Amino acid sequence: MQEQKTGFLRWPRNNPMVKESGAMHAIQKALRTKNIGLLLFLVLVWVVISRITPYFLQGNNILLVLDQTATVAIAGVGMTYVIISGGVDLSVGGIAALSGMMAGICITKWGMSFAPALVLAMLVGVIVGLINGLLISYFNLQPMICTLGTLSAARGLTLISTSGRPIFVINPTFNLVGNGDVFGIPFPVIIAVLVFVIGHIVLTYTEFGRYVFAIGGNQEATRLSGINVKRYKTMIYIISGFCAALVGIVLVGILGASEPTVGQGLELDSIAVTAIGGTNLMGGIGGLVGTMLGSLLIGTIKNSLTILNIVSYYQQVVIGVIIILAVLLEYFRKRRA
Amino acid sequence: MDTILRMERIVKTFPGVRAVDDVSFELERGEIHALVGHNGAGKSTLVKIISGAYQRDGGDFYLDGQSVNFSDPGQAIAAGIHMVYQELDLIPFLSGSENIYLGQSRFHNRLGFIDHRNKLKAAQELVKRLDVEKIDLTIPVGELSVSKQQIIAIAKAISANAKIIIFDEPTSALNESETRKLFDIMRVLTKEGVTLILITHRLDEIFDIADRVTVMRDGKLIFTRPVNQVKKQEIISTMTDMEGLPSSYERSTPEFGPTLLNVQDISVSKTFHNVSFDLHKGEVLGLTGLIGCGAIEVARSIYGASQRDSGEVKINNRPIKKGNTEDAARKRLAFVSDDRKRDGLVVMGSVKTNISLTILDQISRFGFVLRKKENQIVRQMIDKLRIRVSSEDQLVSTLSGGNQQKVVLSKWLLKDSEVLLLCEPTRGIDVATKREIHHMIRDFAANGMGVLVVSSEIDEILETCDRVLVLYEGQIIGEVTYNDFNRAKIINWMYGE
Repeated sequence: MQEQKTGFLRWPRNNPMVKESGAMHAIQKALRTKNIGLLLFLVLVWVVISRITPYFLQGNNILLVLDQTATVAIAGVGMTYVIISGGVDLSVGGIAALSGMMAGICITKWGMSFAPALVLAMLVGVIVGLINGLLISYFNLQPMICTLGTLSAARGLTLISTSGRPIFVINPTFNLVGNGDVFGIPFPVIIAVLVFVIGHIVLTYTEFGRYVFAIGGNQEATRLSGINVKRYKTMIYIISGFCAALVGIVLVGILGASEPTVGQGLELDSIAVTAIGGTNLMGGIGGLVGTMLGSLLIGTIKNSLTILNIVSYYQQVVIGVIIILAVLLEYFRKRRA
Repeated sequence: MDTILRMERIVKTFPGVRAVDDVSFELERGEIHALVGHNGAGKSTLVKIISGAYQRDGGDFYLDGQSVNFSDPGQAIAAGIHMVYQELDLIPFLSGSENIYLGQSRFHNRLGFIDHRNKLKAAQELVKRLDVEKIDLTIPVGELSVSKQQIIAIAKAISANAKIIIFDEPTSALNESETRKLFDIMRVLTKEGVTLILITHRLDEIFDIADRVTVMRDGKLIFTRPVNQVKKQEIISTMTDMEGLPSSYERSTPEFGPTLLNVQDISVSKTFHNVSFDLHKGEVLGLTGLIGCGAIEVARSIYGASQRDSGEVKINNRPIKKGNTEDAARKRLAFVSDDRKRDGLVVMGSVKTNISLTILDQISRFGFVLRKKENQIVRQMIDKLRIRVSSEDQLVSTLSGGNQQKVVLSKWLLKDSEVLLLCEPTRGIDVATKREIHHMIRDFAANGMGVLVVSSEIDEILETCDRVLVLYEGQIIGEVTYNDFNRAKIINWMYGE
């Protein structure tokens, strides 16, 4: 148990219990370290698929994988915060759609420019997150039920606002956000990397990040240590709402329109990548590196099944199996440790 | 007389203690047998052996003349031994009748469906047999009073043909009339030939209801006697040392500083009433009483861990908002719970993250935790309190109870707390570490803190405190200072004498 760590990939240091001998032992040790197993598995999938189809490793396709991974990864960052704190946020898909719709209305109906539209759209996500956080922290609603409610409400509001029709968004900056690139790297990927890096730094190195883990590990002990648990829990749901709104913006850019049905299943995908990444669904343990690897794994598999011309229905089965395998692996890893 | 249960030379040891030491115990059929003793006297262990929750290490156990070996509570229940716990093990969402017949397939018809009407009728008859007022057996038991839930728990035992029912502190949550009703039911049960064991700390009850009483102490059975041949005072003095004081630490500050903590008339309904006291700089104040006397709840509500109904708490003359732990901690009040795992530690976390939890805001710059400073502070604390760890990154779940407690203390010492509220500070801790912690408590006071020690262990109180308040049934019944420490007086107060 000793080398089980939270957060960034860490090797056991100066641990007298671990003998440094033999390749087999090194592998075993590595498997016991968080995220290494997942990384190896990801590499293995890459090797196998590139053997089957050389198209996989071509530059364009790799960028496509990353591009397709970006939205889930961004939502996964917020979800990882929520799940480490012992909660769950089912409303992210609804928030993404509502924020995207807000952006569309601002640009197309109200004739705003990019910056104020962006601010208002993000604000929508933050407000829904705030509502989630307040209800869960101050009124003791169960996170699953509360966010299920806001998911439905946000989705409904989105549909009401345009009577269910999409709004086309013709704006060069939005187009850049969705489809542009910097030195060939798609913009959504850059956003995802930024969100990940900031999210990781905050979670690992800041006071706030420590409280996220402490609340998920033992909320009562944290409260009794004189920490304002309610305030921090509210902030955590705001972060999740913020990330979800960002996904909504990126999707508007990609699609060139605000689609009211966008982001369906985003909550389940982001929970899946968080779980695959080794974050404990009961809270207290986890990290964003795992979530990123999980997002890449899901993105890779979706992409390769597509280029292998496998019907998308099968993709869902494969992804389901992988989620279960990942959690099983975690179980065995823990048992061996 | 007809002996239903006979135990001979029963021994049960746990690492470091002989919880039950060579105990021979008998139950006569149809009697009410009271079992009394202080915490750790071995009475819970003994009944857990009877009810199959523990297995004995040595000795013989006969039920109706047959030697028995229960490997789990299910076997004891099958043999007719039931337990009615203080925390009733009913399922709150299910109705009374469903709870009574839970796990019995008696009312399943041929198709496997449940015959609800007959089940309810049978349950109602059962409750009527106990000769009590009507209880609605169709609503979830969670909506019933504790007293009625208890009756359902008893009915559940009867429905499974209980021969022996063990009651664990059954009256602690009941008022007087409910207690009388329970005793009526107990008498009905004995008339039907059921044998009862009653564990209680309310000694007066024994004389109301029991036929015989057994007193245990330090794992040994001291005596078993008919209640009419024993006096309450004799039971109290048998349960514990009435004489002598432990070798104490020197009380170096007979003159205390100004009042640090002022508690004014605080109450929590059904738990404690109008508790007031002052705690001074440099003073160790003890708050003691039997389990369930409300002492721990007093400390919890002072800190804000749980709500209080009325009253005021001031630290350094500044009032503390009720139920607000952030406010209390900021005003330098510290709270160490009696339940480390539930309230004290983030069990998945490391020694470091647990110790620094209270002071992260002080060792952060622009929100970033200053890791070097954190490591340095944590290491200092580990050295100072001599916490035995391989590194500050060790998980707290792998530490011994004593070291875990030191981790909890560390986080409050770092916060520069002025007043420490310590609930059962050495519960579940080995003797050596216990002494160490007692020493620390004296040191804290010597360094100008005010310490409130809430403990049901009288030796702990006598060893560490300058002054002691005794709580009985939620009220302060007595107060004594170090110079007048008298074990007998304190113990008698604990029992309401």
